This record gives sequence, structure tokens and C-alpha cells, in this order.
Amino acid sequence: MSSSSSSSLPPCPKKMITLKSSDGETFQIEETAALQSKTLENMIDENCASTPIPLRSINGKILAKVVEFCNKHAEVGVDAESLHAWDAEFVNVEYTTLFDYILAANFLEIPTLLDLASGVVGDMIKGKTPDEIRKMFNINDAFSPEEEEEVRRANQWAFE
Amino acid sequence: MASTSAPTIGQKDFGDYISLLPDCLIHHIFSFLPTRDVVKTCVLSKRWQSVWTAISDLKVLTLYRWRKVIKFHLDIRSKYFYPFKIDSWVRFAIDHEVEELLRNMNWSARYTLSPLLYNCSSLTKLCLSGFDDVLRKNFMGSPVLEYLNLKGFWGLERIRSTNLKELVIDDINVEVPLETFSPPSEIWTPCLLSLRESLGRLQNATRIQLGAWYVWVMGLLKVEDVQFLLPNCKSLTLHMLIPQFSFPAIANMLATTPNLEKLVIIFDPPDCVSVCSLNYSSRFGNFSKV
Repeated sequence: MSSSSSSSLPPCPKKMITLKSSDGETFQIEETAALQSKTLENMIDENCASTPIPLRSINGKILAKVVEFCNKHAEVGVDAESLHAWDAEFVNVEYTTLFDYILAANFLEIPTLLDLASGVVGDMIKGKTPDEIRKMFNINDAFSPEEEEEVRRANQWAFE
Repeated sequence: MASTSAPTIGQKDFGDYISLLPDCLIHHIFSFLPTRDVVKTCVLSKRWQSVWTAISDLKVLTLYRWRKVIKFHLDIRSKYFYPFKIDSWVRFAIDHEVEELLRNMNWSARYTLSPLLYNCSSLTKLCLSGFDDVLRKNFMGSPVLEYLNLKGFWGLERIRSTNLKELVIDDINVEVPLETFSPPSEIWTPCLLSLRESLGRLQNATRIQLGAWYVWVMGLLKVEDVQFLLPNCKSLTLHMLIPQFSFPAIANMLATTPNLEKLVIIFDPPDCVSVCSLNYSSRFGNFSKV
């Protein structure tokens, strides 16, 4: 359906591979960009990347973002500062999307994306009270006040 | 969105999405947090109560920059594990001045603790279960070791520990037949104040057979200190070594088995252990009371 490829004129034909999302969308990605994913790298090494690679656990919306991330991080000549700014913008999303990034990065083994998204979630948790965290992430299955008090007491030092 | 059996990444029909992340990914998020914030997650919900305690990645642990590890619990239940990974955890504990180390091990697992641990200058309490090749012959203990608990631990020939004050021997292991235990040929612990052993798990047994090591320990106790009862025991077989023959041991065992119908005493040949066993009691120094 949609495709994503570099707009610059290639000096030589670039090797492209095709990824297929859970909802049937296909995405083209340069092999050099795809190599950031250990999972894809293994498939390329084993010559399994000549046909579209089905990624049944990632939907099209998230896969598009992952491809965008890999393309950006494979660009040459991007200085660290502007890449950092780009990354900050990339993860400026709803928290549920951050978890999608984390799961996708884990599945595709993309450490840069995994660290980026996990770090942002970490920053969201840092310094917050349990109540604030529960509200922020809509965490249910809470303890009764008595149970919570007991768990708290067992790890008292962390709450002092 | 229609729900499918396996959730797809990007599908947003879960309310509590973060709790659905597998532990390893939550642990990765933890690696970006100060220790205090990590531990505080235990009250978030039932799902989160023990997530932080299962952090298995040493890289994550070291990120916390803990100054000191007080208690280090190593639990190896599977026989499939990576010894090098455990070695690195133990080194981590030693580097962080561990005071108390517990090692639980499935008896079929074969993992030998780093000998470095036995010279560790901070270790005061050590609890071991299972088997250990290094310990098999000679337990020296760290110079400051005060408490030693050997549970289901077999094959030890010698315990020598200069500062040990309390020695607990619980050699009943449901997985290993009692016959495989044999007494150490030497215990040298000049500072020992307390010796405890337990038969608690045999409470429901009707036939009990005890190895010489156990019988020897029973002989060291005073009748009033034998605080357990084996009310269901009808048949009792005691193995004794001839040089160790001990009336107090028999008396103590009879005191614990009020409904006994049959007592068998088997004298094992003395070559089961070395001759120095005669000197046990004098080697106990200040041993006084259970």
C-alpha cells in the first residue's frame, strides 16, 4: 500500500526489502536501514528477505514509524544534535504508542529504539508517587488499602 | 477493533497496557530509573508486586550503583543454567560487601560457588543447600563467618571455621535418600555457641532410618533440648559408628518417638569415616546449648 524509500538519487541500485504488517500493509526499506534490526539482519543473512517478510505482531501504523526510525538512523551525515532533536520528536507520542515502540523494538531487536522508548517511559515514572503512576498508565488490579500498606511496609526504605 | 488471540503491537484495546509488557521489558525500563523508584513500583498493583525482585540481568543491577548488598539469595531450580552468569552475580555480591548469602539449589544442579566467596571479608551468614564440589572436602568459611546453615547438603568431609558461632544442619532433603549423607570427619569451630538440627519434615513418617551423622548430632543434645516429636514413628533404625557409640543419642531418639514399636541399631564399620571422629566433642570448644 504505502511505501517508504529514500528520496535522494541513488548512486547505484539500492537493495530493498519488503516488510508486511499484521494488517497487510507493505513497506519497503533499504537493506542498510533494515540492518539496524538484528532480527531482519539474521533474515537477510539467511537469504529469507527476498520475499515480503510478514511481521504478524506489528500493525501498519507502528511499522511505518519503525521504518521511519530506521531510515532516519541510517542516514549519513546527520549530526548528533539534530538526530537527538529528531528522536525527541519521534517519541513525543501517547504513552501507549511508546509501549508499541518498545514491543516492536524488542521483537525486531532494534536496541536504539528500545532504549529510546524505554528511557522516555522511565522518565515518566521517575519521581512520581504510585498513585500518579497508576493514574498515568491506567493501572488496575490495585491492592486493597490494607494489602498496599503491607507491601509498602515490606519495602519501607524505598518510600522513606 | 476485533480482539484476536495474540495481541498485535499497535492495537489499543487494553486499558492497562503497561502491565501487559513482559517482565524483561519492564526490567529494561527499570534500568533507566533510580533504585528507589524501581522498588516503589511494588505497590502499583498485584501484577507489579514482585516484578522488580525478579531482575535477572546483572547489567540492570549494576546500573543501580548499589553501594552494598546485605542479603544475596541465589535460587537455582532448574538444572539448565549458565554458570558464568551466576559467577558474575556472585562476584557482584562480593564486590558489594555481601553479608548474608543464601544458595538454594535443586540437588541435580551442579554449581560450585566461587572460592572467592569463602575468603570474602564481609560475609557473616551463609546458608547452603545442594552440592558443592569445592566444599565437598573442606569448608573453611570466611574469617568473619558467624552463621552457617547447611540444608540438604551432603558430602562434606570437614568444617573448619575460626569464628563460627552458630551451625545449623538440616540434612533432610526429600529428593535425596538419607543414606547418601555421611558425617564430616572433622568439625573445628572453637567459637561455636549453638548447634541446631532438624527432623521437622519427618513428622508424619512411620519408618525412619537415620545415618550416623544424625545420630551423632542427637547425642550432643540434652534431652530437654530435643524440642520435636515424631509421634507417628513406629520403626526406627539408627546407624552408628562403633567409635561413636552414644547412649545419649539413643535416649534422645527414644524421647522423640513416644509410639515406637521397633528399634534397630546398626553398627557401620569404622572405615566409613576417619578415626578422628572420637575427638568430636572436645573439638566443639564452647559448644553449650541448642
